[in-house]
Amino acid sequence: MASVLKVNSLSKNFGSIKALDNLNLSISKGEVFGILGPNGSGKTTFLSVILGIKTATAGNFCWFEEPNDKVVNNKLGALLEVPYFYPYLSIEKNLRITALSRGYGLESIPEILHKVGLFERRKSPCYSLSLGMKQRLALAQTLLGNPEILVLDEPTNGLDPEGIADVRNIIKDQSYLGKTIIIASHNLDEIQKVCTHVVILKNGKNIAYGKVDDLLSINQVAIIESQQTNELSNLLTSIKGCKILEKNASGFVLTFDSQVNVAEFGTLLSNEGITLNRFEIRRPTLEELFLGIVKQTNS
Amino acid sequence: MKNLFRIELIKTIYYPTFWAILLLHSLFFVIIIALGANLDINIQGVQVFKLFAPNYIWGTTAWIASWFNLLLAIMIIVLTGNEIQYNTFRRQLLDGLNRNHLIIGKFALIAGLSLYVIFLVSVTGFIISLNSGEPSINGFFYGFKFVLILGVQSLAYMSLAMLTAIVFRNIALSIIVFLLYFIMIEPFIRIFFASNIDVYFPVKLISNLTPMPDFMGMISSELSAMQAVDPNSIAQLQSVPDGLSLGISVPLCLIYIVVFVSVTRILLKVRDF
Repeated sequence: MASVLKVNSLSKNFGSIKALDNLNLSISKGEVFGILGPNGSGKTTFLSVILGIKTATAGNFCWFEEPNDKVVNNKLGALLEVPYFYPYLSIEKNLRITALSRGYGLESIPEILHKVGLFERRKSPCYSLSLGMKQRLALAQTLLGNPEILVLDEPTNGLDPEGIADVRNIIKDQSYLGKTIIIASHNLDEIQKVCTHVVILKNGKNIAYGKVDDLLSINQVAIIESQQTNELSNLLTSIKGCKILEKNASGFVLTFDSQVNVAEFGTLLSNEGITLNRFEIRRPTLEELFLGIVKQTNS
Repeated sequence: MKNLFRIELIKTIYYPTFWAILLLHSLFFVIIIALGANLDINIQGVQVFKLFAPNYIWGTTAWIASWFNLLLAIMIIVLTGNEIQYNTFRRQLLDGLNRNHLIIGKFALIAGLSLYVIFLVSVTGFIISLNSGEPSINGFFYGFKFVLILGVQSLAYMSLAMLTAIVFRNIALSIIVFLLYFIMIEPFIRIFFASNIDVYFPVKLISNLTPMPDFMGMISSELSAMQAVDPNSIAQLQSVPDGLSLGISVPLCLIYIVVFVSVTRILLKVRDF
């Protein structure tokens, strides 16, 4: 499939802090690409660099195989961090500025306002909007002009459950239309529901990257309950490839990477004389995968 | 390009502070001109209303209008600072404009405001002239060049204001630094330079574009009429050479404008948003 974005050895430093560290990745047309990472991992910096808002310290990127670092903003719709607009202008006038900046006509503004549920409030000044409405306006700015690629940084920030569902539906609709969507979020459940590919960043480094299904099949999650939690805890920490995600009164939630043989693990427990009340293996959620990988890199 | 102007227009004409400052600017100017032209006050032997007589009107109105250029400069700091504070420069970059577009948009606004200044002074001067009953067209336009030069001066003040806002990124700080530079910093620096060099400093050069009306010249004309004294001799005795001729200072001012805008452009190019 045609590549829409290629990132080669991209680095960005803020003084001595490495916000992005030698990042490489490629995004193809039609992918819904999730960018995950804890706070300060470099998600927004990465998006800022590929959108031309910040300049890279080293490395390069190319959109649509254009010359290095040339941002083709007329093909992009972007929402970065928080909504930006003129508070004293109405919703409609802010969208007019966006439309004129992109070189589009003003006729698509009412349709976009209907889509994000702001048509009735189109004359309201932006300072009077709630956080959720501001987020909807930012989404409208992003969608205006029907761009080929959507870049969304925390698009569900400040939205109520209905708003979150609306955003999810908009993303899915855009994805069905063949749009490429790059989305950074803390909401891993949302990412899992909509993304086809993900990259996990930590301290500006790429620590996991690929198709969501492939990444989720690498690891397994085990839920283990036993009366002998102390002995079990000691044993689990000694097993390579096993990470404790969660500990509670009755047991543990663990992740196993591919090097752990689950059958051998069961044998090991019985040899150590540990009696299990519950032992359940399942595919991890994206959140469990994320936490497992982040903990692994911490250790 | 047309879209850039439309964008700047939307941002500006719906901003209440813009109208508040513009109203203050025009009111202050018109009130002072109206008072000056109608009050019989004597300053240094000259009756003030005579400053609004033909031959003096445009120099006087341009000089008075130049007092209020700082108000327009502060407005440019507020409008540019808003873009940084609201992160709307960033939004416009995300929407497909480049950094040059941002500068062009703001400079178009500055140019528009300079035209407004020229218009305001021309209309006010015209109305005052009608009252003075100037008979000839030639006499009416005598000294009108000062109004056009006032436009260049406004352009320079506002370009420097835009640069200040981009450098300091904070509206209050930018206004304070801008005013301090005019009132204290540059005058202080000029102390260490000879008078033939200090006239090239930006604030002095820009301010001198609209000089104070020639009070001494007016006194000498009146004295010579009454006492048959050579007016040139009195003017030469009283005047202190200060500033460059307009033929030099106007092109230098234009160069300063280019420098202010170029430095603004460089800062916008190299800075992250």
